[in-house]
Amino acid sequence: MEVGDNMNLLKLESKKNLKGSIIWAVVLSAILFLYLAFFPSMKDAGFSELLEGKLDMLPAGFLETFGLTEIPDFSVFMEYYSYVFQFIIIGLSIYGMVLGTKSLSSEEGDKTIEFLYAKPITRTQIVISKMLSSIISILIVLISVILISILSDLLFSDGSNIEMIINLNKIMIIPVLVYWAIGFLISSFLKSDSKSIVISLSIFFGTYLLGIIAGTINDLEFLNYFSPINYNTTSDVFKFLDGRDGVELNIVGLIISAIIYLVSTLVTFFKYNKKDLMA
Amino acid sequence: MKKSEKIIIEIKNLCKNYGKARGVTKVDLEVYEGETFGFIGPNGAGKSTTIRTMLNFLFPTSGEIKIFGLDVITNSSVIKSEIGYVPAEVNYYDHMKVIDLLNFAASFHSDVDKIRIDYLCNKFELDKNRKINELSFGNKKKVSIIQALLHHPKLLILDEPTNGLDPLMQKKVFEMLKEEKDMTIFLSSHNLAEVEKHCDRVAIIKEGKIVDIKDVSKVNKGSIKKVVITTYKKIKLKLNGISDMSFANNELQFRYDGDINVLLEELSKYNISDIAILPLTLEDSFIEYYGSRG
Repeated sequence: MEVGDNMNLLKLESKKNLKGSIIWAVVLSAILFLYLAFFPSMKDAGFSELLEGKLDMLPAGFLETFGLTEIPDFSVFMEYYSYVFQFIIIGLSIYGMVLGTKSLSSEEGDKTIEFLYAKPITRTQIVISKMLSSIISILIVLISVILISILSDLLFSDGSNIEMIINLNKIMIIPVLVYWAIGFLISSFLKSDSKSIVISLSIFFGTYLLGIIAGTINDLEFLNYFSPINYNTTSDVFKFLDGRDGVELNIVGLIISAIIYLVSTLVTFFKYNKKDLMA
Repeated sequence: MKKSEKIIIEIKNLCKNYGKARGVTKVDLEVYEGETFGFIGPNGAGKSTTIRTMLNFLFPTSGEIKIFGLDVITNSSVIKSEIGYVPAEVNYYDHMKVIDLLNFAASFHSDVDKIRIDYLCNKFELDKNRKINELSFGNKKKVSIIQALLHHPKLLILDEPTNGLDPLMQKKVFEMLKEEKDMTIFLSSHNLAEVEKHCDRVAIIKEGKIVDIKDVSKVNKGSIKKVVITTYKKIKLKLNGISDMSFANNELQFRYDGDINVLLEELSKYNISDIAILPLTLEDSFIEYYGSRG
């Protein structure tokens, strides 16, 4: 057997995803930068005290929806950062999930997969190439977010939080990868990508909503386990990294994340290797 | 006529059912090295299903397929390094230029160089700098044929290859295929004349079953002739060797297996406007299977 270029599909896929990842990188970085640009005025105007007073009057469900169950001290850069950053992680998780759901199904929808299937490449190699290229796309967005975070720390704070920013990002990639793996799993069952975005958004916001319900109604706390993004929130992870008393990572959540990730990935490979390509 | 005893494609008891009417129920085939094998049948008979199962796009419900002696499921990738495939409908990455697509196709093989790509593009008069989504159906088909031939495959699988090409280009396609020495060709087509002209053997599939396999060289060398007589008066021919007689639009048609002189002597008794005595074509020979096609 004459073997050609093993990286060819990875290169093609990465090129195909590049435009999307640049757009997501620019949008998420811009949102993050704009929010962080408010930090100096927030710190100076004693905004957090003002906020604390007003927020206390709001219903618990409302606060949960906006990730404000514990009122953060917005005069501390990293507390403010981890509050804003949760929305960036939401964006990144949606991006990861859309990438996943489109990955295998889009070529089936536009039938270009027939070209690939007729070439000397195994289905496992196709899945690996597509997984690697979408990981690269997610990393492009994440790295640009990290760079903007560091730049903001230097511009709007004292630049002492760089290590903390990097560590926080490292841990918060976990829920992004969980949603990405669920996306791949769904993709291996789909026959086209026409519904990928709707499916991704429904699942993401559906699970997110369950997380909010879990946080609001004590009896329904178990629902939290249906919301991977809530296992370890950005502010919890920051407090853990900051060494605050009594704050630990949710280990059960991490284990569940690992299980979802592994099972989704394995089922994706298994299903895709047995799939009929319909005309 | 078999060109070699070496089996390239071996399909045994293939059954593939998905849902209602489509699929194949029993396909058995052997295709030998170097032969051009035609695969014909009405729409929905199972031609594409068979091809898609050969290429492992689909998994058989039962039965097995071997190509180059290897199982198509477990050795799919190894087999495909020696296969070229031209699908009936060409769907390639629209945003790519022709040359990008051909380079991408070439990247799966270690032995394709730029000269080969240029040679094939020139031969098919294809502008390799155009974008794929700007190409006509016929030009897309050319891209498909070129990408399938790049690596000098040992087996070429063609699904309706000349559909959408003008007659001149159709001729060129088959000339190009003949340039590839020792290549085995599996050709699915609706065009019986095309199959008859280029294939060594042909299988006909109907309702998911292979109903006949014929040696094309023997089809039109038999003693049976097709006789077409134009006449304005009814003729009552009673001769041994006449079969399948029909009369429509002043045209009397029948098959005749016997002494031509006897036929002509009998016909001389009638006033006829025109007569044609033709060898049987593949179409005549297969027309019985196409009964429902109209």
